[in-house]
Amino acid sequence: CKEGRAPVLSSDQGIINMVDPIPQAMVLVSIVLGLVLTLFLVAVAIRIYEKYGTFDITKINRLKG
Amino acid sequence: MTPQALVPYMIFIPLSAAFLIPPFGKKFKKAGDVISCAASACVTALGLYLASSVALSKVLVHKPYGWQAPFGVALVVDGLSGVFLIAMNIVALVVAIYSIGYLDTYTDRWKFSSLFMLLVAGINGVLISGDIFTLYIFLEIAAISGYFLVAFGIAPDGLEAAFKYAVMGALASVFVLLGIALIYAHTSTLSIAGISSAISAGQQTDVLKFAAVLLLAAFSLKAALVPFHAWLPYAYSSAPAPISAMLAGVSTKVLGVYTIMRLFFVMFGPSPQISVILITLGVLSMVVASIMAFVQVDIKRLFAYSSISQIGYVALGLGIGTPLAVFGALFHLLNHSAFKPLLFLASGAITRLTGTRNMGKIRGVMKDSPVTGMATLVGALSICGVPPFGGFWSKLIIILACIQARRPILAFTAVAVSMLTLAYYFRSLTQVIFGKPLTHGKREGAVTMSMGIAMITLVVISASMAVLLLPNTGNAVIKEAVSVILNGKSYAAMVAGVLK
Repeated sequence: CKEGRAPVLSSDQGIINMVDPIPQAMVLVSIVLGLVLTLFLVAVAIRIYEKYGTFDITKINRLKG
Repeated sequence: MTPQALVPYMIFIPLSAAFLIPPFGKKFKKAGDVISCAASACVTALGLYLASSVALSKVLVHKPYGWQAPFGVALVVDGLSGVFLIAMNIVALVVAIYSIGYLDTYTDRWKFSSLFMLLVAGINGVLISGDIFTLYIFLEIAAISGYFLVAFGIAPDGLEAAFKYAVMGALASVFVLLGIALIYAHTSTLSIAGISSAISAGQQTDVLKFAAVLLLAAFSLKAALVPFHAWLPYAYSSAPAPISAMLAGVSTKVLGVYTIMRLFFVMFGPSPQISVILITLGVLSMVVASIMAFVQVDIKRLFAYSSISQIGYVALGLGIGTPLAVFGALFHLLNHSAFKPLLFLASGAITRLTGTRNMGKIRGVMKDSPVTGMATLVGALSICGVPPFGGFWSKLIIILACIQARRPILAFTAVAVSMLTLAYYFRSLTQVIFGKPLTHGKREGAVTMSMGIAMITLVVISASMAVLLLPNTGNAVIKEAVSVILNGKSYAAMVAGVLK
């Protein structure tokens, strides 16, 4: 479709030609969640380096079994 | 105030507590714990009220700000949510009380309380969301709070465990998002009731089957069914004891099993292929985890593998799908939510007393601290399925349901795993509980009163779980939830009707 207008609900215009707002919302939420997760992993990685002295995942293996 | 208007407070109270704790917690040392216990108590009371309202009116639908479908996102409490709301919030309250004493050796206790409140808010959100994307958002809130809490205290193995848990959990979340996107592309609605009616109206295309498999894989990882269980022994053993209790008793149940119940029985509707998969996963979990539990020396790792095994029972019951089996599965899940946190809290107390998690080095807990010894004993007896504790009844019901469904091999497997469970608990814990206390120097601290109160509460609850079998009391509560699972589609239709 060519002209999709912004997904704002107003009384004088119908819902035809409106872009679907849901995928935009879903992607935004997932971006934010991914950001939080990445920040967490980075923070944990920093602390792991302080404790283990290496970033090599094969050496970060104190928990067995 | 109608019950409907109170539904969003299940999320609002712990969420606002999570944001109130930082300013107060920095000034006063124990303010964080007080606020978190108060919020947990409020939410537990509210959960009891909502669940009893549901018993009257079958379904509570809350439309925020009155937005109708398809614009609005609804919060729905039905029989299934009600049962979980009560149980999970009681566990959260007990763990909050326990943390008052346990956190004495940690700095920055307010951070723990704040994250804990976020976890509770996320869990409640998953339980009352009527929309699949809201479910995803609260799933993530609860899961990410869990990752932070496992790493709390920055012990090296806690960090390593949290990293591995986070990576695997993130993979599961990506699968969930993809599954949701595919379902939305197919049905163009996100509310669970709407998707349910759209699926039963249309036909089962391959896209839906793919989405179903993705979702099943993702939630099996969250529930830690074999072969998706690898993160659990790390996370449970390295996390602080109250967090292990919360993860075992609440997170795996809600984020994994409840979502499977909600999406695969209510939304997708029962299907024979899903039942076969659930039975397979259940049997694998029961057997593999029990065998692995035999070789453990770390007490919390033993409990972790035992948890995987018990969740296998629940998956088996759900997979069989007869009313008796689903009742047994749900009852076993509730029992496990009472016993496992008790065992983990007791293990935290044991670690406090002896400074180690190695069972070879722990002896005679009963003489050292009778409360802890009693707690461990009751928890172990309940999980093994010794009458009159609740575990016996729920396992019996599942075994009977297997026989009733003409699956004697499954019944035999359940009995065999039950005997294995008894064996490895006996092997590990008799010397730990009884026997003479070793003379050791590393006493990290005492078992404080709050820890004792929490453990005694759970002991009382565990010992009385069999009460739920009596016709009047719990039978009504659990039967309501069972009927939601079994008649999933009609429940969804009812909710859809209210949404309009």
